[in-house]
Amino acid sequence: MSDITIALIGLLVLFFLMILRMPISFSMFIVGFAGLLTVASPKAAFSVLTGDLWNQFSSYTMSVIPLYILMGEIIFRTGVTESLFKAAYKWVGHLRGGMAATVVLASAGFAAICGSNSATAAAMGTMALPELKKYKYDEKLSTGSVAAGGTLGIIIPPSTVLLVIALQTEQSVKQLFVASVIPGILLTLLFLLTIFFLCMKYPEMGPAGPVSTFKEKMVSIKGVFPTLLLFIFVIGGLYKGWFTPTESGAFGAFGAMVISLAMGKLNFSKLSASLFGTLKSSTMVLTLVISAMVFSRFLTITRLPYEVADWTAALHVPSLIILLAILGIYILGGALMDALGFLIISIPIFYPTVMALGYDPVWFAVLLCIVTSAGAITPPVGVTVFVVKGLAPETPVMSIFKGAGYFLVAYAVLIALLIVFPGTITFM
Amino acid sequence: GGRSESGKAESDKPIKLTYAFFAPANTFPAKQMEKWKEEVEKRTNGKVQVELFPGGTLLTDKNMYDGVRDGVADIGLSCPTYEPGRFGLIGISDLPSGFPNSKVSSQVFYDLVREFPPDALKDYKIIAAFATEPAHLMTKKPVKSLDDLKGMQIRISGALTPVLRDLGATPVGMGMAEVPEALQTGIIDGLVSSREVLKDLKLAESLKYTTDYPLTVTSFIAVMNKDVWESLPPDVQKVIDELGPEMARWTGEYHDNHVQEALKWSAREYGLQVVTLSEEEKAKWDAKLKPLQDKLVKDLKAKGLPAEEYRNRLYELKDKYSRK
Amino acid sequence: MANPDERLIPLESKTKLTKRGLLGYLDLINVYINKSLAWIAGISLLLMVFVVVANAVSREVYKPFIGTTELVGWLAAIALAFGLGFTQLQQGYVEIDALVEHFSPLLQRIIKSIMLFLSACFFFMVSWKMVSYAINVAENGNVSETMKIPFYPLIYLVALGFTGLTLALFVDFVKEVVGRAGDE
Ligand code: NA
Ligand code: NA
Repeated sequence: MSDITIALIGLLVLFFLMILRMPISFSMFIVGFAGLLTVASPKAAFSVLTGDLWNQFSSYTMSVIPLYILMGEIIFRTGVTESLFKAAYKWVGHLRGGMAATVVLASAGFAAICGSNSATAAAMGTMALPELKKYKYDEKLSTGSVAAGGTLGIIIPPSTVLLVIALQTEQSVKQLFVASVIPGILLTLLFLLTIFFLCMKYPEMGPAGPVSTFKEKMVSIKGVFPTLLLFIFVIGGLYKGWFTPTESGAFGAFGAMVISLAMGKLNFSKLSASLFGTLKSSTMVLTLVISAMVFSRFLTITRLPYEVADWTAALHVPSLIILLAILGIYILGGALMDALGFLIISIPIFYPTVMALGYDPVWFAVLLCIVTSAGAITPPVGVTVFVVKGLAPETPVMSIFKGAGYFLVAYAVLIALLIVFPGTITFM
Repeated sequence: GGRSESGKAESDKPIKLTYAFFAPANTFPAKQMEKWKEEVEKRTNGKVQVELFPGGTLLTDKNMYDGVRDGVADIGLSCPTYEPGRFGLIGISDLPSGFPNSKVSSQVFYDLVREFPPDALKDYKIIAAFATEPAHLMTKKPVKSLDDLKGMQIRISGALTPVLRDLGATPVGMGMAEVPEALQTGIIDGLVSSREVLKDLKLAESLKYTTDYPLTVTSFIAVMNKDVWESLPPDVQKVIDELGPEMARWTGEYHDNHVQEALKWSAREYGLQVVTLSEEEKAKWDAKLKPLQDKLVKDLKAKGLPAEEYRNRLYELKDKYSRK
Repeated sequence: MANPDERLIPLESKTKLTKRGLLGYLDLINVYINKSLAWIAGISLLLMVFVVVANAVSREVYKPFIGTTELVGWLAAIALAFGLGFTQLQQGYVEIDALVEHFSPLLQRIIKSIMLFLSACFFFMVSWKMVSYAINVAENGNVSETMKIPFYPLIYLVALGFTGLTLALFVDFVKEVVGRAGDE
């Protein structure tokens, strides 16, 4: 049996285990391990598994995820976010879907300081989901908004994905970051349009609240100050160079503790609940990321991703078709495996092909980033969807995929726009 | 990897070798892999086929050598010093020794590894060894003296910590990915590394000065799983053995050219300036750094390793290859 | 939101429900061990915050602590490993239930038992192999890059974390087989 056949069987088994309700991270661990065992040897499989587990468990870069979740947990459990969302409700609650729109806007703001989609989804989800529930928002819409909003984390700079692409294609990190600002804003607007369109069609998804008086609006702002202060501190500290993006998670959590302590809202039981809540969601997210990595190692060793890439690069058809085929493969890759792992494997193969077709390097990099980040909300492996699931255990995971699915339309529109009007990115 | 197909390979079926590395395909050690693949496949008339896995997709810097031992890949390329404590003597040649470039450091290192094979690699076949050019200070403000350097926050990686500390700078540890932003926001004032990063990571945008004083080198060793090596036919083994010293020279030259290109590009695009130390100042730096190597030699000698011999040979070889 | 803990399953009450016979004791041990590990994990999480913040402050006013990234990585390893079993108690691992929920209760139980057993075996093996890995690292003489500290004891802790997860999965498996009907 060839290694490629084994890879395809592995994908099939993975799919079966997942739909038979084996936790997704466990499925990827087990199939990845069994695959390595088959293709290489038991010794090799154990070597990869133990090495990856230790190295990823003790990775400084990954530790930022629990820190962002902790920040969100503390400000949520101490009720600080409640006043923030109350204020937002007074201002936009009378609009259908206004609160979901608020979540998307807040995600965009958060994405401007955070380079990771799972961290953005984690931070926003912890704060927003319980509030949206209170305002009787449809769970598909609210979880979908958070999951899709989370993907803004890697489109709006800073972005870990753009960083990897820049390093691999020898482009300027700064230039890529600048180039993705406009697409990031466009996508945010398209997300807002998606929400308003949905709520126009199905008013019960994001019910309109009562109209507030001007006075009520002004009074509500008072409660916003603590959170605003924290936001200014975290964003300002980043731009001032007080701390690095990785450190901002810790400062966010620390600041949240200080603020809620000063307001007399933090006590021991709330702190321990925040810690346990953080533990639960971050363990879930990080095991997913690591299991995706082990599974990617299996696919890599069979060389399936390389074969697919070679095959596409060798197609004799018009350049736009090749480009679309490549983007299609990235969508598929993003659906099936760890997005970063897939980028690292495929960029050396696809990038020269796309350059040979005469496309702009910056434009392609940004497009790639957008396509890959859409993978975070496509089934079966959707990182931000899983993060949201961790924060909303009572919502079925397929409902979240469905809710996030509405936003894939926005993605499709954006990608089409960027292909038809490449100047949106390259004018810079 | 290590899929033992190589063992029972028939004469008409190509022998497949998998070769892993932790850094991306566009870095110079990965170019070395490509060259090695090309040469091996050519010189064995296609009898051997090499599959490359750069970018840490199979094994990373943390588990490369263990992974080759366990048969995840047949060949693995890594930096021994990324796993400190495991490769005693190599630390000596990594510390500042005044190498002029990578061509010299690579050839010296290859010979040293042949003459003093690391105990930790005795169960492997060493197929390549080379080193970077010496790391240099790259800073936002010119560093002409130890006084200029005093208190500057400089990004370093592992082995450089004591070097920078002894020169009076404040070493900062952070991932390379965070460097561009940390430079922009002023969290760090510069970094120490081989100088191709000026162009490859576009760091010349903020780093306008580099001080012409050679610091540590980073050495690389590629090893093959011993069982796989023993399963190879003698003619293939011969080709691989012949390639060892050739690759050290080739890689050194390739890396040096790449660095020179990066320096020219940075000077042209961003006005990079090379700061030269006065003889008197240079002597001061030497005096600060020499004790580091002395101390390491003493410590390793106490552990029963031939550290003295290693260092003497290091300087002999350095002179030999510098003269050429 | 009346109860801020809504998203955490209260563990004590769950224990009382099943506190009968051997299974009850098994469950008690399971909850006790994994909850203790979770406490240590929570403290590690807090320490991570303080270490990162203290380092950045110290860098601004004096100089940074060079081993920060290593120390934070190790704390993260403890937090993550010791949170593994707790997350299983909390039923925190994401699964896709869209298909299985249409099956008969008996079939659901059979499938669930198989999956739990398979997972428990797998993570038992992982715990055991992590121990071999720790021994290997200790024998290699590996020390950390910056602080030059041997880090293999932490790998034992990660192995312990996986043991906690194995225990939690095993207890869930036994409960699934014996049947929780009596409890509900
Ligand atoms: Na971002
Ligand atoms: Na996906």
